Amino acid sequence: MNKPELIETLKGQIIERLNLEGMQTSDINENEPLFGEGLGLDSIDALELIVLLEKEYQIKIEDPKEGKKIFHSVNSLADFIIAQKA
Amino acid sequence: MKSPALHITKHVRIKGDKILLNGEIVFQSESINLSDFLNSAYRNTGLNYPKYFKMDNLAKASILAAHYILNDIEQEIQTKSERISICLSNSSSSLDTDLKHLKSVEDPSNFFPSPAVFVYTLPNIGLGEICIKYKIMGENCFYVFEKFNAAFLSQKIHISFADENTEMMLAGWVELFENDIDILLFLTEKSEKGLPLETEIIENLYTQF
Amino acid sequence: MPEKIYITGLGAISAIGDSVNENLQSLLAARSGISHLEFLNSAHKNEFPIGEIKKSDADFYQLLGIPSTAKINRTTLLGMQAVKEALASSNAPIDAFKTALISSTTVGGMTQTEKYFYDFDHDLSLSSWIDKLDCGDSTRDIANYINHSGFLTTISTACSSAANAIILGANLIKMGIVDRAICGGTDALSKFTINGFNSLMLLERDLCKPFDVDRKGLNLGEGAGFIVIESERIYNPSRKKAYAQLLGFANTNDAFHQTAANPDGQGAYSAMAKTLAMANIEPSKISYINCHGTGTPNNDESESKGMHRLFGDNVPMYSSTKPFTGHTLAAAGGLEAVFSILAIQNNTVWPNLNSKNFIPEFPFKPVTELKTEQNIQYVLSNSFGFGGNNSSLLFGRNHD
Repeated sequence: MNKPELIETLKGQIIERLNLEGMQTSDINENEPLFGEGLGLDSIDALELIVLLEKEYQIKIEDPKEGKKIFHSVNSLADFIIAQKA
Repeated sequence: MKSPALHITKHVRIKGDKILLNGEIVFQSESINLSDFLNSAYRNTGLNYPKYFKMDNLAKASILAAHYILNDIEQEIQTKSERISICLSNSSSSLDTDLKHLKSVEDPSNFFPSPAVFVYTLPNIGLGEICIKYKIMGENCFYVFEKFNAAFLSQKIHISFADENTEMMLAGWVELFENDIDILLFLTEKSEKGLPLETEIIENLYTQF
Repeated sequence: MPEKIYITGLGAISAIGDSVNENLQSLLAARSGISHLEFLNSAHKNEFPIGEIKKSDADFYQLLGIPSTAKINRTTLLGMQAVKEALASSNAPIDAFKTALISSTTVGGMTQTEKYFYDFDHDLSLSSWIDKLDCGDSTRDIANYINHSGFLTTISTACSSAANAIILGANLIKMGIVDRAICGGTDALSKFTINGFNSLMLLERDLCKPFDVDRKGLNLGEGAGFIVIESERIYNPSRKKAYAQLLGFANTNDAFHQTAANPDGQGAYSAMAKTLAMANIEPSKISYINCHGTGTPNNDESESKGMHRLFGDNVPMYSSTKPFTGHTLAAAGGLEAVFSILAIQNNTVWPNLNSKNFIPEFPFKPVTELKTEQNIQYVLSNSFGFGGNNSSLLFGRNHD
């Protein structure tokens, strides 16, 4: 999968997994912060993203603190997945 | 011990396909299931609280019922945070969500327990969601009884108001399991208006709908 | 607080002992009960240290004199053991006074339900385990075991449950609704809980170290802790001299997050401050705080902040006893009430095990060695639960 496709897929998976009701993939800017401002996700959402990484991409994150950089934005998440799969 | 004049000033009843506020139907919808009903009801209120969709059904139902009661006094509530108490009860505890979580830890072929589901495997999380949304910081507890217990609710409310600092108390029954919902939530205040806080009155609010 | 409330019965079962006295001996020996799972069959068997009671359900049936055909789940078996001990130690039978039984649990019958989850469909003989899944069923079975037919309820507010049970009991006594209450909590280990806490990344892979700067999480445990509290209307020191008095209590919500405390310590502060205000006791009088101290980054930070706000730099001696028993969830408030009362009875402060390097932000640290021959007059016990539910209890030395 190339990066733009991965980004689009990730947006859809995030919306579904995190129950972001009424959102479309076009509503998410891949460079916008996922946490704090931007989408305003919280710590439970971060843990859900860790499960998503394991379930959909077979990547395991042991320390929740690692998640901060990886989940900064959809873009950084896509970069991380691509780097792990390489 | 002399109690101040306590009256029930607002009450919400959610049962079957109806929501009643102070005895009047404010929402009615035949839905395919309870999740659908709770989401439709939310949209009907015009409430803008995206976190709602991350909650389990018990928390959604708790927030929905609380909204009808607290919506137009939300600003007043924030000035009284620590002087507002909340006491909820039911008979199924968080069983509806417990079983969802259990399924996710019992299936070795699909072993991905969801933290967001596990969070709601306690009946007081819905109560916690009400506190978070409205900044209620007083006494708060959740009791499990075999069936609706009007006498206990009346006693518990009197106990809370024995502390002079208590100004308001949200109390009631939030029973929910699979597609069955049975909720009575009411607000008690130091007021001369409303229904007197008595066991029979509370019982009647529950049984008349 | 106008009316005195006396504690006349204690009951405890945990990874450090099957009775109050066994628990006491372990505390005095600074001997932890944390190990690895033997009885519960979990995928995480060797991964997480855990406070498992080294007794099978069959062992409990024997201990309690119940036939194994009775099908009582593990949570209830633990509760029965602790309630039986508490009631017996109060020197008054169940029907002697108007009594409330207030139990609490988060797990209920889940240990059995999850064991037979795939078998229920084809083995109807297992269906009675589903009937007993509910939290309330646990309490009712305990009530039947001790022949209690009075007021009964179950509290379920996560880790503050048993403390809230004690608070309700005290309030019912104050209002004259009952004269006595048996209050506490019970929770058995289950895969449900282990996996749930693991999904929230709250478990520590080593022994938990509360208040340590390198702490990573909690160790789960199982157990039951109950106390019997009596009104001064019926208290009779010739029948039973009280172990301590319950001088104050409070329960608040910090309205912050479903599973995390506000790091500013508001939850801990408000619960402790209100408790002291109720008892009309100055912070400087507190001898010891038995902390919630789970060992999670969030709790220990916010609890330390709360203590700092209330006590300034002069925080009394404090420790968490969770490195002894593990975090026993709904039972924690009950077990730790017992440990707080034992601290008064023995003039001893329990050590905060495992921790070595403390949070530099605070000019105080927990007690790390057993401290005997102290003058323990007032002990605060903290229990903070998910949903922002924060409770504190204040126990005082009894002179009556």
